[in-house]
Amino acid sequence: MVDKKLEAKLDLLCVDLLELVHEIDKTKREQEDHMKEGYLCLAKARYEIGVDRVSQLQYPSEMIASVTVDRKTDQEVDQLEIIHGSRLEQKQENPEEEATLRKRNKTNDRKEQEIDPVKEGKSIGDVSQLTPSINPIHWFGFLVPRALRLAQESFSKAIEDSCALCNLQSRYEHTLTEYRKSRTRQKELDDKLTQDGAPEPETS
Amino acid sequence: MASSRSGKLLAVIGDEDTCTGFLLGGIGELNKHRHPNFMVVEKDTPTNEIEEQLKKFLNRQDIAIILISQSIADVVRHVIDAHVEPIPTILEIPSKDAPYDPSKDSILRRAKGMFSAEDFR
Repeated sequence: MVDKKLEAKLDLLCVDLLELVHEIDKTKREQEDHMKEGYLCLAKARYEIGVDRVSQLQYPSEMIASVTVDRKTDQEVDQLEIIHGSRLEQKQENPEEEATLRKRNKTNDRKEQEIDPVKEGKSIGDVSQLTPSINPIHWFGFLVPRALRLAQESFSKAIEDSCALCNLQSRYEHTLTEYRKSRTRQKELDDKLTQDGAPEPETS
Repeated sequence: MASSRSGKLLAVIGDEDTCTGFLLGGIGELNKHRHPNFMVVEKDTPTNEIEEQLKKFLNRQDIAIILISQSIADVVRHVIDAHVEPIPTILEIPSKDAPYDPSKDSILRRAKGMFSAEDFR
């Protein structure tokens, strides 16, 4: 009876593994399609406004991410979730998280946070020097071609696909580990039955 | 609720277009030490620089996902294979020059050898 249950579990795990592999392949192809779209739009934008206007030369010297991931640990397998909203805003909401060594005078902390909450997320410059969280598209100018906006949309979708792929990968690794443990257990039971001289249980 | 309070970053290692695209998507950041979470790899970028940067990303506590072009991942495969922790997750992505090749993907390659003849006895 135990063996039958184990076999049923192995069957389910096999099916799960194959479904996950299929899902991973499908999501990778979707990600590739979004990225191809993005590359094409970047090329169109370069054609419209110039090669150097859409290149690493336009990257600013100050950058804050507006897309991050949050790790959820309340499920069997840790899952990652995309968060939209700058890290600057996150740090303003949770200023106590950034325990900087420069917080020597506790009485001034609150004032510093009120006057200059931005400093929690930055180590240099005063508020006037720091750029607030802005749309990265503005690094390339304020009147940007439509192709650049489309490129941004495509890569945003690619980022979501990336997060989904990481979650699928984690689930795949977890399921594979479970499968291998169950398989090892089944082999141990089979070996034990063989040693005891009992006939092998029917598999059908 | 069992979840982290602040978001973690996505890092990217790829050619200029790949980095520009993902940075447009909003993942780019320079941390308080002015270290970026991206690396633009040119044709003449030495392998040891890519290795070093990947190792730096792997050691950073504020990065949850590392996106790396598949063609670049092939060059630093030994570093990727040696990484077994779940976080940060290394994800191989296609690039303009190297479209998605399932035969080279690390997960799908392992899936090929998932079952042996003995499994079906």
